[in-house]
Amino acid sequence: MELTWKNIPLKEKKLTFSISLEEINGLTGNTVKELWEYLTFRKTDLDILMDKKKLNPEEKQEKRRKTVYLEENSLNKYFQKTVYEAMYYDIRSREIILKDPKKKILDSLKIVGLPEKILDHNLKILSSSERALVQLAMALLSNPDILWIEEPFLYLDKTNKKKLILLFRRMTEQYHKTIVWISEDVDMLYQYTNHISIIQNNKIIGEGITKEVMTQADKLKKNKIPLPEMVELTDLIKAKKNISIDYHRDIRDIIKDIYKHV
Amino acid sequence: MKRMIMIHQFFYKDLWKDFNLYIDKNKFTTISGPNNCGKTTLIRILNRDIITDNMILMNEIDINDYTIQEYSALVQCVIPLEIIFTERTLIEEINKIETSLDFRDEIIKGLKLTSVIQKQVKNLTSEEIVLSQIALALLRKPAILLLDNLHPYLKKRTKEIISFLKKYQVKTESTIIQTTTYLEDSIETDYLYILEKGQIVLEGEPREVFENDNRINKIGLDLPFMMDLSVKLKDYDLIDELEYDKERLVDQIWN
Repeated sequence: MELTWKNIPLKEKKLTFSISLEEINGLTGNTVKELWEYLTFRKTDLDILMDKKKLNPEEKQEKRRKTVYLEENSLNKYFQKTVYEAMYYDIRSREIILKDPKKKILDSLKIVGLPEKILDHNLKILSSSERALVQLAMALLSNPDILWIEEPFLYLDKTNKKKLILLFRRMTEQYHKTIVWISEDVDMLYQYTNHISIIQNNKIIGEGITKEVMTQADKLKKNKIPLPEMVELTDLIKAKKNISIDYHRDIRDIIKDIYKHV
Repeated sequence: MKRMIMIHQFFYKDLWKDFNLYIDKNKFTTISGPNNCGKTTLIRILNRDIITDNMILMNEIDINDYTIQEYSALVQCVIPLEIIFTERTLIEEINKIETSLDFRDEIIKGLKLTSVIQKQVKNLTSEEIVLSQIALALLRKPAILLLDNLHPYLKKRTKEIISFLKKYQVKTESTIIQTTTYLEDSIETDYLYILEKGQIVLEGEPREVFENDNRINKIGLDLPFMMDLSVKLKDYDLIDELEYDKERLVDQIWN
């Protein structure tokens, strides 16, 4: 299933852009910020199609209600003292209707792996990983169907990254949510997303299944998009030694393949 | 080797019990560890943002015995985005610091801030703010520079900035301490400590520490791809020596 924005006006150009629903999508490039008002349904004066069927104004409004865009460092804009106060403020300012706000707050914290005691912590003294996870917990308060999230892994160590990837997978596979992960980290996007879009200088450079898009080395290099290291190594082996190994997304598979050809 | 910082039998809340840490003078040291192991807290303690009862020696003197002026001449600290600009533009902030024009230009050029210095500080991006913080700290010529977790703010430019800082550190014979969860940020530095649960669990020259890939993964840290691959290929006897350059690694595998 796809959600498509047709002819988003970008300076002198128009851009048609799609995401794959109920999947982990990747989005990278230098044109992402300019699109956010359209992608979050704040601007809807264009055709938006769900599986090739145009959404009517009510459906667009409903999509807007169920979409969250989580900016990097979004916690900086909160003036509240404690985590609880900031989360409660978020519920009220976003007009999220909940029977039991406290329970929802606790559930959101539990989903991202934070303990209840963090609610009393001062926002200013949170560690960088705690801030990142509190931000995500806040985004989940409204139970969004589509979550746009900027650089979710920047502040996280390997253990927390793994937990978050598992969470994203659960959200998409079990709860049919759509994640769009916006990042400059092409290696992480290559490894963990199913579908990717690369938008550079107001143009779509590549869009589709992540492995297919990110192994088009010539195209990416021409548009100054860095190649994932695994792809770069695979291409180098082919070019230098004339040995064809497959494109892999897991280091253990690369090693197995190298071992076969030594 | 002379010690610049000595932390001995340190106790602090639940984080550290009987913790010892020694930082060499005139070296660039990296302190890494999983989330919430206390990296930023350690930087704040060394910067005297957090006062403890423990004795910490900085240049052989208890840090609590320095006056504020003495300490800020000795130590500068960059905690990303924790800065209050008092002037309208970055160049106006920079010009408040007494320093030679050559040195000032060298820092601005080295951090590639030439196009940024005339911008109004309220319009600076996060990356530009952090680079400004580094510039302002360097211009004060501290003996010790503390840097906390720059990578999330500098992203692709981190490697270039660490490289510049290493050259600066060698030239000025200063001491730099950085914290990070990104082990690739330690490659050009002199010494790496990895903390876990209040103790140093691995230490040494970065490339030597990286050979403990299983331990590092268990701690909850990532080895950068080429390092990880190289260590694993060596474990499988596919290469004899660790190599982080792709071309040289490919040549070594199929020599």
